[in-house]
Amino acid sequence: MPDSGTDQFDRLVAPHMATLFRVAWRLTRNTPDAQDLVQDACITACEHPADLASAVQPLHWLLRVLQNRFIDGARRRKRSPLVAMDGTSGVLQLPSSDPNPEELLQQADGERELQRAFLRLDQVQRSLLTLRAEGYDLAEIESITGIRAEVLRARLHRARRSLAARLHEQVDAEAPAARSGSKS
Amino acid sequence: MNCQDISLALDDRDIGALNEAQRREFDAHLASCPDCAQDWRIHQRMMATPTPPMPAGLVAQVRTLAAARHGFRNGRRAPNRLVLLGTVLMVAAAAAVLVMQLLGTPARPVTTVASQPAPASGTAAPAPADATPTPSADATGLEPAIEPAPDKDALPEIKPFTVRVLPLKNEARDVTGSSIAVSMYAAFMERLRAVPGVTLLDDGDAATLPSYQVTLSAFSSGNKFTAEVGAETFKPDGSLNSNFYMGASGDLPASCTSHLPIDAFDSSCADAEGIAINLLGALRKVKFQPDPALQRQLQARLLDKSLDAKQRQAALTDLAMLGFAYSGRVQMDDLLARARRDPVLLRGAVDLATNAAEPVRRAQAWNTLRGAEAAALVKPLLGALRKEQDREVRLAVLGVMAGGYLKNEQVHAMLEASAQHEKDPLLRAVAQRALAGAGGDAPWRQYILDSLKDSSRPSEERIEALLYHLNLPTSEASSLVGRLASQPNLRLLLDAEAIPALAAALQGISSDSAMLKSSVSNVARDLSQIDHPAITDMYLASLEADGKWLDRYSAASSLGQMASRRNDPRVRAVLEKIRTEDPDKDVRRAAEEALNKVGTAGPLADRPRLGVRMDVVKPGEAAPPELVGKVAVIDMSPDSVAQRAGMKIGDVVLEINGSPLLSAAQSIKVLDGLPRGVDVEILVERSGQRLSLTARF
Repeated sequence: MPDSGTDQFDRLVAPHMATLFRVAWRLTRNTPDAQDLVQDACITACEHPADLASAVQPLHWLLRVLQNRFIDGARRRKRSPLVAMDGTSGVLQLPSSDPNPEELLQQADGERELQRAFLRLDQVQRSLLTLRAEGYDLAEIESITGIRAEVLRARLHRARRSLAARLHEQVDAEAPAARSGSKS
Repeated sequence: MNCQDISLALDDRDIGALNEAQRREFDAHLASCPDCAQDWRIHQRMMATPTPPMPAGLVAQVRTLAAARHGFRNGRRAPNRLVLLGTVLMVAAAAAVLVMQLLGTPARPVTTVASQPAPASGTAAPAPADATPTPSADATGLEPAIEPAPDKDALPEIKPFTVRVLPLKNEARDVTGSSIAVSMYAAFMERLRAVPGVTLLDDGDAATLPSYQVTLSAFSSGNKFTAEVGAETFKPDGSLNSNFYMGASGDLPASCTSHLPIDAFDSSCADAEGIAINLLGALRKVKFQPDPALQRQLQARLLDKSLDAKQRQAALTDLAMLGFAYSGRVQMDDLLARARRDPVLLRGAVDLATNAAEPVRRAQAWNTLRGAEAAALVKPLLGALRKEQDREVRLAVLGVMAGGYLKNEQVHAMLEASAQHEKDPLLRAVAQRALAGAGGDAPWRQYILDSLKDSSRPSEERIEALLYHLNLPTSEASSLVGRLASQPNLRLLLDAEAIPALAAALQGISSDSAMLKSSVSNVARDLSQIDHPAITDMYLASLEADGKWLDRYSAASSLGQMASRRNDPRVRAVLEKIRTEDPDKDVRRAAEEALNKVGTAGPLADRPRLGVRMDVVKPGEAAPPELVGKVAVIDMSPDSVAQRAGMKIGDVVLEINGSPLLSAAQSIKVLDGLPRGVDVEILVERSGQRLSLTARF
């Protein structure tokens, strides 16, 4: 049995896994989901040995795979097929299952708040902000995502504004929620 | 320095790259611009977010998996953990019934008459030693020697758990809907009480954290009723751990009576009881702990031949995915592997796959088995490929074979026969690809492309190979663009002929199949990232043809995504019309958002446009009295020249290029008179301060 599968893994994937995990954690904000995502992305990557081998920058290519798996995972969850249910035309919406939003990390209040707001962004926005937070500049993000720099600029700006808006909403929402409690 | 420059620093350069003078300007801007200051803070906080270290052993674990996949492959795609077609896994079991219907039957038009393939029997296949399945103690024809599932596969007995159900959130807008909502809630509560292991918590018990906090909400308008159930779990400190939602809706009147037994988990009625059963069923199957009693119940339903195939398939799917959203974090691999070792599941699935009357049911059952590797499945697989005439079923059988039986000589031989002798080219291509392993990828893709471009075939046929490909439960079950991005080979789909062919094929689809529409529209939405006029035309055509194959909302929002086409006057014109005239509010909103994204460059915007609405401050408005009579900004377009210059709503515009402003109309005159490309100085007053802003057109 040829061993090139694990060879390639050791050479091209394993050295980057720590980075991949960190990015995956930033995207999902909890370890089990990050683990799944990294695993998913690495397996995907290994199933395309030719592409992996020919990538000019393996890390960028791996990040792209990771990002796409992340976005597609969410997209699959969101799809709502319209199916006729035997004439009564009922529609079942797909459930959403948010990832566990918090880890047992020592977190300042502000951090938790930022995390909650971050998790309310859509996947593409999370993805772009994460890459930027990892320190990649526009050219690198372009290489990773395939999105042109001008478009990236606008999207990053919008993502940040969205995040700011969500933080703002949370502060407003917090107050009434604390009052309502449970009623019978 | 203005907001745009700040943005640049945030996106591109490090603050460290700024020199001292620039740094000072930077800080000065941040001091006066709360938005930019907040953006900057967010950026810094995100960079500083502490991240946990990678768990020890993750590398080794992934390595092992990669090796196992590679070793197992024998050239072909390894069986993967997404045994059910991609979308299904993320779906509650109840919804999965429908999704299985959706995906179990690959896009196939009702209208075209395709040739029925001759089963690959007789002529080329070597006669297997046992031509007919030997009857056994088990009526389904499986050999008696199915190993019983190992003990570790048995579900543990359910641990008692508590549930608090919040009061119903009844947002029904009419009397009928409202009363259904109330009945639904009552029915839900009654059944919830009967769930094994459950203790309901009183509202009065507010201090106790429940295992699950359940919310129910209902909404109705006109004759459509929608309900949603949510379930949250908590950490010991009371903060949210996870949540889960599922909705169900249907058309009223609610006088529909379900013919299913009262404890059935799938109800096709949009009545209170039916919806309650549906929603609670989803929770039990997906979110609550996997319950062995429930498992036994599902197993019994699967094997119950008095039920129809649809109900049994629902039980099969539910069995395969029992507990997948359970917050105990059952690993997906383990879950599915355990399910597929379940001899009852295998037996039931094979029975359905072999004996269900309708081909679509047989195909669905086979699809559920995708990725299951059991010696006992070999004979049924071979038998099916020999007997089955229906194309969808053959496709499904080939899929199962390709997923883990290649090492079996007989299966291999049958695949070889199929690869050569299947009448239907898609089936041939699938079989060939299975046999060829990694080397089969290129011919397979070529097949997809050739089909797309073959204008002699009806649209549905042209696109079906691509749809099949996109819906495969392999690593390829990702978005078209995702794959285009990560697999250079697929970029040939971007070649000069392929995209127009795809666009034409998509538009030519005339089938009414809801399933086809759904899978097509997913592809179509992804295409907005491919910058090509044929794609723009495709969206425009679908809007003008009233959403036959792509819903109008998706078409409008996809147009908004196409950066380089937004300024196309044709696009703008269509979007404008939709924004004002479309009967659907969401579609109107999508068009509006798309329009707002359209830039100000282009023939319509020869005149310098600030992107603001201004008006004279009137007495009595919330502004200091000295501003009455002055011109203030009352609205601003996002991404506009004004915004980039740092203007804010509420700014009082005092001067433009040194000329005092006396009216909003005057501003237009002043701006009209300027040559394009010049910077314009705007003096504004904000919170008692005067600021000089530079607008760059």
